[in-house]
Amino acid sequence: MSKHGQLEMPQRRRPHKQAPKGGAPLERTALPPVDTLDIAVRAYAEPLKQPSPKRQKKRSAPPSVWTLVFDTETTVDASQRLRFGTYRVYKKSDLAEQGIFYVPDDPLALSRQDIATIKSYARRNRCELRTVADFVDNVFYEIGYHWRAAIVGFNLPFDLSRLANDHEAARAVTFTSKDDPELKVTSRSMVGGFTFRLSESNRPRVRIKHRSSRDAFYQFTSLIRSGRARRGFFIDVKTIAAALLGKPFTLKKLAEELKVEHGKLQENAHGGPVTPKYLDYAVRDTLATWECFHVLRDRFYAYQLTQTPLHSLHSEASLGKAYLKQMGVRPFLEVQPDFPKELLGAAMCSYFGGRSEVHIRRKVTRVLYCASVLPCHLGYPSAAAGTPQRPPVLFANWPFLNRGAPAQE
Amino acid sequence: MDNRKKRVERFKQTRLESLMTNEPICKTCGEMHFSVFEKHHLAGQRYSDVIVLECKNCHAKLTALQKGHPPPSGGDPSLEEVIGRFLLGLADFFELLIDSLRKFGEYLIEQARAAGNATAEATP
Repeated sequence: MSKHGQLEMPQRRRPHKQAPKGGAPLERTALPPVDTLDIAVRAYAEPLKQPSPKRQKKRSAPPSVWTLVFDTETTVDASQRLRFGTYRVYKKSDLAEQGIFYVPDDPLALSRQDIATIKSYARRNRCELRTVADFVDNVFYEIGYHWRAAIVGFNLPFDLSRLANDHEAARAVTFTSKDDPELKVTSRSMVGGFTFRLSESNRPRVRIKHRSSRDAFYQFTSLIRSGRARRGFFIDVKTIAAALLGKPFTLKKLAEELKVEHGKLQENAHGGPVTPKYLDYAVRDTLATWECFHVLRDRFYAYQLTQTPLHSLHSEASLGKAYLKQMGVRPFLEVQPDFPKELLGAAMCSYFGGRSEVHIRRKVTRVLYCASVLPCHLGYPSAAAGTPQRPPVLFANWPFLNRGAPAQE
Repeated sequence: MDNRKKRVERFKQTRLESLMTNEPICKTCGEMHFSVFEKHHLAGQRYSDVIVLECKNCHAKLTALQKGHPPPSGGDPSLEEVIGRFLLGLADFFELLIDSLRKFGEYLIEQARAAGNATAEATP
């Protein structure tokens, strides 16, 4: 603190070199000089401008008993244009329909011979055969939107973008409150993402915003004429696998990890002529995705997190937050909004968390200090410490903690 | 799936969405068909947001019973009045439930006796 009562940032300075006790001369070593760096501490910052009022979140209905699983196959060039895809529709756990959809009018994607092979394969294997437009209108929108099905895929953003015939940058959306028509709330949650138009007819578009390599936000846009926005239930198996199992997976590795009955088949020559073997591979991919989804869904249900739906699981942190929500733990400032902000500031300044940074990447380098790298999700011990059979310690003991210790006799 | 079934399913899912459940059941009589449900405000719409799913018949009966409650007073209701209305709503609900419980009980006993008689006849 300066004499004017203002906080001063510590100056960068060289460390003092002191001779060790005993008077022996300081031995010069090959170690580089050590800099003392400024330490940034946490602070509590009160926003100057109050954030605009958030819309009251209404409880939304759960997804229906229907599930649509689909996967696409593309060319291997830079355009990665859609060639054909496979899908399966389930009612609860019973298969209601399986099929293949293909691009009928793009010779760069499929030749006449390829289309003939697909048609004959579909006939032989009792698969419903549709064009892409037919699939989008009569399966994707009919079941995924109107029937409120869970739309499931592995790496879903890629597959959804392959179905699109147009796209643009997602914009901020302004809502008018029903209770107070004067109140307008702007949502920027999807700004930075894309809006895809999948159908030529008047259908809601699909918005996608990437959050990381294994997670994205999805939603149907609302039609101007519709009274209620239906956002859809998109579930990327890659995302929920990473959230529930704590590490990223490919579909092949995930199927092996979960020991599902029908794993992924040996990789085929992508981009080459369509053969029955290639179609077997594509159909099996969708089946493996469904089986992995089924196992992961059961595992999630075993946690009994009734207040968090599966489609809102984005990471390990989501799981931790779901536990806190289930226990009824509310955010501190929500419970005590009048708590003195100065004390919050003081408390936050006193906290110094370890921080790891990587300045040199992909280069073998001799290091001076070495810190073991801890997995970030250990920050959510309430989630990481538990399994469905043995819930996290805090969660398992919550009724006891909530009631207090029993009186001693 | 033909177009008729598709349209019915679309209507069904819209109804279930507004009911906020995939498996609605009438808390009074056990009816389960998705198309017959309505939302009943247990204490009256003016006093509480607590809602119970009821089939149209049971909802009409509960609304009729609600007409017997004391007439509303002017102004915002006090906490005591809200609690009182809630208890009256619960009493109406249990009044209807008693009939259903009696019917279910008698039905189960009939079933058990029929099964017992069948077993006795089958035993030589």
